[in-house]
Amino acid sequence: MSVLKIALAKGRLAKQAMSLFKQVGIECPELFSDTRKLILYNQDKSIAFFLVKAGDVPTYVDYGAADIGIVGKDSLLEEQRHLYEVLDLQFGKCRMVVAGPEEMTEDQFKNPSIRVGTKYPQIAKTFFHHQKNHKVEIIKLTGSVELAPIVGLSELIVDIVETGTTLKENNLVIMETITDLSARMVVNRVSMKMKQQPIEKLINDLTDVLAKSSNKKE
Amino acid sequence: MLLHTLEGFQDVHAEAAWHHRKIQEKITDVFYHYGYHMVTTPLVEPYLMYHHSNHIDEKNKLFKLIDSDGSIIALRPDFTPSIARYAATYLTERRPYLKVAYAGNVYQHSRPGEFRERAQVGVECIGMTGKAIEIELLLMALRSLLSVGLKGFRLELGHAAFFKTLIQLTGIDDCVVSSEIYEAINHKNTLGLQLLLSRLNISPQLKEVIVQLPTLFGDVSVLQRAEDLLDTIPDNSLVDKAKMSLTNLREIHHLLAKDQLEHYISFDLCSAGESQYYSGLIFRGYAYGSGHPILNGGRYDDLLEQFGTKKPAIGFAILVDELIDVLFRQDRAISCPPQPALLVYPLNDSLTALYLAEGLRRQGQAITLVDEEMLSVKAMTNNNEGREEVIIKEVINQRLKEKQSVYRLKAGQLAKYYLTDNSQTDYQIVEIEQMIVDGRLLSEEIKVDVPLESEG
Repeated sequence: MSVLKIALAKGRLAKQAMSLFKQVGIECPELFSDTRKLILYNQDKSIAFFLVKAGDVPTYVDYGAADIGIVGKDSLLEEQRHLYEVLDLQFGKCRMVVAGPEEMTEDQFKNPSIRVGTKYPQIAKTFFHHQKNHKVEIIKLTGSVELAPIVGLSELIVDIVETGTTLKENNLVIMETITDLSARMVVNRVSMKMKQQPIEKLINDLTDVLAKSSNKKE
Repeated sequence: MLLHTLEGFQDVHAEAAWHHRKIQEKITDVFYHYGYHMVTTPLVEPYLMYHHSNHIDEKNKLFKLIDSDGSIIALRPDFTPSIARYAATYLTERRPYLKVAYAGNVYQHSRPGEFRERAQVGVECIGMTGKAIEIELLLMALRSLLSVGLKGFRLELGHAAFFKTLIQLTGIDDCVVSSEIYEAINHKNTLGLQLLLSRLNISPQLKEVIVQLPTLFGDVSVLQRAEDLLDTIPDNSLVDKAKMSLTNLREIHHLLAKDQLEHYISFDLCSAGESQYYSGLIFRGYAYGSGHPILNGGRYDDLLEQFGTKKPAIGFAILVDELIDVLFRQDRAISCPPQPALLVYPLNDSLTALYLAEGLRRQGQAITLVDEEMLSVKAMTNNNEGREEVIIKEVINQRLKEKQSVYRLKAGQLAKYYLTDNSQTDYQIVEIEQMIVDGRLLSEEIKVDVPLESEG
């Protein structure tokens, strides 16, 4: 049987994903050690894990370089790849929002010459241009998006918000929620068919664990 | 000014060109044996031809040009509409069917960095219905992929009618909602699907069936599972239609099993096909080593109506670039022919070389003629005769290592260089005393076993 390759979005999502995998008996403690190895395996070497930047996970999975990806819904929406989105993993919950300075008025918000800074130009474009029919100018940034309205690069931002603390500290308020987000498991279209058994087993096992934990919460 | 190809386009040369040609040859040979003859259609078509597509994205992906009369024309994104257009003008009462094959490039805008020109080979059968033609097409698809040496692949069957009737059953006429449902099913997003359905006023039984749709893929047992699911909802004409599509798939599987081909077959009942024109059987080829399908096909009984004749039609296309990619990854690339032998000659004896090459070619050898200066460019700049000779020998040695045979014409003598069996660096020289009359090589190799010469 060939190895199942799983791409994990670097950072907190990967850690949470591994603790979920642990509950279905898949472990790879080396993944978060200081190792220089780029690809790491589980106990019986049936699964290979590797860490990549979140935005790259959909690409790895689309090309089949990874059979499975664990990544936030934000990256999926931004990348728009044709993948199977099979599971909502229930962690990494947050929101994609439009935020701006507190003192911004309704009229200013509707101003057509407004600029929006974001790490997610695709999501911002779909929201403003297509859903709101508001032809704002979209400026792609790669980090510290909250800075943009403060220094006058843009009037608004589109970004991920978990607690809202960063926004508050910078005198920004949420103006609208675009969508709720959480971590997802995605599968390559061909892998799903060619490696159906192991992938289906993994999906079923994870579904059971997720169902149990959501019951506990209730 | 150094000009490069446009982004998303490439020059295909040497080995890659060989693979493209060979694969096209092998596959069209299979097509020929099934009675499908080649047709070539224009690269450009009226933009109107692609107007039917509901997907704005699909239209945006077209390469559009303005014709001399101001009308919009488009590069073909796919062959099927062109063949349908051709068929509509070709078919008459006396010629009620058409079986054609095609090979060529198709054009579509894609993400930055991805290729926009891709090669396809495929077939279309227009005017015929029935199981036999569907099976024949599937067999042809299997034989085509086998003919190029592909291993570890599968043809996945689905049925557009199954999916479409189930969506009709929900009675949703809001196209935004139905396209959202379509999207969720297409991405096997069960949770998203559940959320969408929870907002709709449809029977719980039907909801359950639709929620199960994304899981209906795998071996032949999914057909039974689908049938059982359909049994849970009250019968009506639409349910019957969905059941009929399952029967259709079961029959196909049964007939392929007779040929012991069932292990190449799997099912996915909710793949509605990326092309919207599919109306019945849909099939797709997957292989280990590629994340994308390598073959797309299906029945499109409604497409010809646009061109003024209502005729049933079915066909498939093999995505040649993806296929070559998979063959390389599977280590099953088609072997290239040996390089033509190199005949190196001094510029002052070029005519002898020309005749000599013709003589060797008549004996069946492939010969590349190259004058010495082409092999000693570096030496030329140094203007050093001794060094020049060294470089020519280096080049010859390199070519021999690459298993290319080398002839060298020098002062009226022809030498042939061999790589000796036991060494990668030593080669043997066989001098050939040659006489040429009217371009014919008269004498054969005379002196053999001339002492070994080491590298450099």
